[in-house]
Amino acid sequence: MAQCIYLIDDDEAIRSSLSALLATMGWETKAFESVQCFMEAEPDVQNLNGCLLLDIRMPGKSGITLLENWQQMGSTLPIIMMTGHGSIDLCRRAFKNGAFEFLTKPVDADLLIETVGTALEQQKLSQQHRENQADLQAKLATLSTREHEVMALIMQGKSNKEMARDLSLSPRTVEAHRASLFARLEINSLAKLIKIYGGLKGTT
Amino acid sequence: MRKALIWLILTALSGGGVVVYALHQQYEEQSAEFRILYRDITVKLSQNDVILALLSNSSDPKVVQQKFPYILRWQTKPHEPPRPDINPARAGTYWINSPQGSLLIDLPTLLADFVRTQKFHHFSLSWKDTPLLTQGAEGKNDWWSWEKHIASPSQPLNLLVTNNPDWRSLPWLGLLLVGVFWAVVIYFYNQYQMTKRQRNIANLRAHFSELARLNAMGEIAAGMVHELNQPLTAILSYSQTAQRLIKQQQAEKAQPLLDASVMQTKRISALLLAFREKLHSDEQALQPVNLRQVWERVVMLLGNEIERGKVSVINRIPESLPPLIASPLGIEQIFHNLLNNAIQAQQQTDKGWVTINASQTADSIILTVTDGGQGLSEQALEQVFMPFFTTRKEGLGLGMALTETLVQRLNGSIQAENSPNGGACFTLIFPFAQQEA
Repeated sequence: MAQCIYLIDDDEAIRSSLSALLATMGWETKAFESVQCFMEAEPDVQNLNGCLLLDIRMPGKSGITLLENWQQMGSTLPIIMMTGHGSIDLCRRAFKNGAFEFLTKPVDADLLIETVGTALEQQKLSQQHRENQADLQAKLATLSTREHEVMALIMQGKSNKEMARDLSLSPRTVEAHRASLFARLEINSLAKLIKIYGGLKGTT
Repeated sequence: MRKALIWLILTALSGGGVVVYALHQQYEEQSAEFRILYRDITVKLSQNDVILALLSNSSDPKVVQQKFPYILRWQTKPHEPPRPDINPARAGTYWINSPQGSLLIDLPTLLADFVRTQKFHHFSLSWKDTPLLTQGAEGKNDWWSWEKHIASPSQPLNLLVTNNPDWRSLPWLGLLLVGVFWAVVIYFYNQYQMTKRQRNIANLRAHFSELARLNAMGEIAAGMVHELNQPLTAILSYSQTAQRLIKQQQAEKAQPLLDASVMQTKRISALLLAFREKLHSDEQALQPVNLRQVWERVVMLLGNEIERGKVSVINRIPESLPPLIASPLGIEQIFHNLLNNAIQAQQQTDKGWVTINASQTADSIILTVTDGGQGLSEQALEQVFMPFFTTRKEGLGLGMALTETLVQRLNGSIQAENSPNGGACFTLIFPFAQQEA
């Protein structure tokens, strides 16, 4: 899925001018006149790719409210806040809620392009990371319950004999499970198992 | 209620003081009277000793009796046994005994002259607790009493007088005046307090309205900033995008962006126009205005500042000046700003003054406001009517700009110059024919 810049601003002229500006960089821009419009058009915020340019002062739901709910909604899309009168207070509030950048209007084109570029870069990296994780999760999901148990015990550093005792199985069976899960996770050593899957969720 | 109580206390205290003083005076007077009485009685009684010494057997009883009617009997030989001092036979009489003889004295007759003229409430002469002569009332409950032994070896009488204060002779009129005095004092103090409070309230109100004005201005400015920021942002983006496109050799794409940019610029201009319209919407109804009265009201409004700056304000608007068709509030504001400026300009001057002059020509009224300050600098003369030009630290620089706008709204004109003696001089010209405009 290609990266896209989502722009929310209540002013038509700003939407059109910023879209034109961003288009010169070859970026695709989707502009919305309010937070509600954006939520209707893109209900699936977790899977958006790109970044969000958000005006703070808007009729209806304000930009800062969306920002404050953003992380709860499970999105990792970086948000660049824009405002006509940035007070220190507002700025602090924005960064506290995970804003990527805080720009004051009128925004200089170079600064905006640079900021958007960085945001897209960052988002791309985190997206890749997430895709990797998802891949690993998918592999993990193929393991049987017993193999999960065995893996958990391996990670605790137990030997085959100990595992056999803990799970009331014969050492041979444990060994068979171990070989099978190595095959399913497409790894060939204990070190790799711990390195790649060690920090992943659901592996304790 | 509290004032009445204070008045009562003050009057009671000072009245009490007056009464005590008067009573003390009375007491002193009567003490003096008592001393005179005592001295007279002492002298009279001591005469008896002398008479006794001088009497001899050869004296003619008739002559003696005639000369000294109070000597009832006498004998030249000492009596054996000695006669009692006090004659029990007859009240008020007593014997004086000496080796030469004895005298029977009738005290009431002896002292008839003093006793009749004395004014004490109670008067008594006693010997060894036996009253010989009393006059007046009982006198036991009287306020004051004086008592003294007569210093005479042969007649050690005890003189006792008592008296009451003479209430009627107290300075009642004085007391009344004291009451009136305090009432007047409290009244004036009250008036003073009230004026002071009113002045304080007026000051507070002025302060508050100034604050409200500044707040409103801040709000307006914030609104303007927001309104202008949006199109400005768009213009900036459009222009910069156009710049980039031209740089990228795509000049044909820049055209619509520049058009949009122009549109936004027009939007700003329209916004500013609408904004001005909004602020000017409160048109005042025009009516005949007596400039002299308005000026006097403004002087009253600025009374505090005038007093504080020790500025004398001279009103030379002739009574005969015809009324000007204008908005009274507008004129008041114009005068207020001019006078206020003149006062501010003379804060460092000891004897400041402001003069307003008015004259009438065929088709206009010319007003000049002159002050005794430093005058305006060259830069100030040029810029005095520009918004946000100010020479004061805390000034906003809107007063004179507003004044000019108001004058122009009345089709008038205003000029600033320096008078030959240094102070600033503002000349305002209001044409009569403005109501048709």
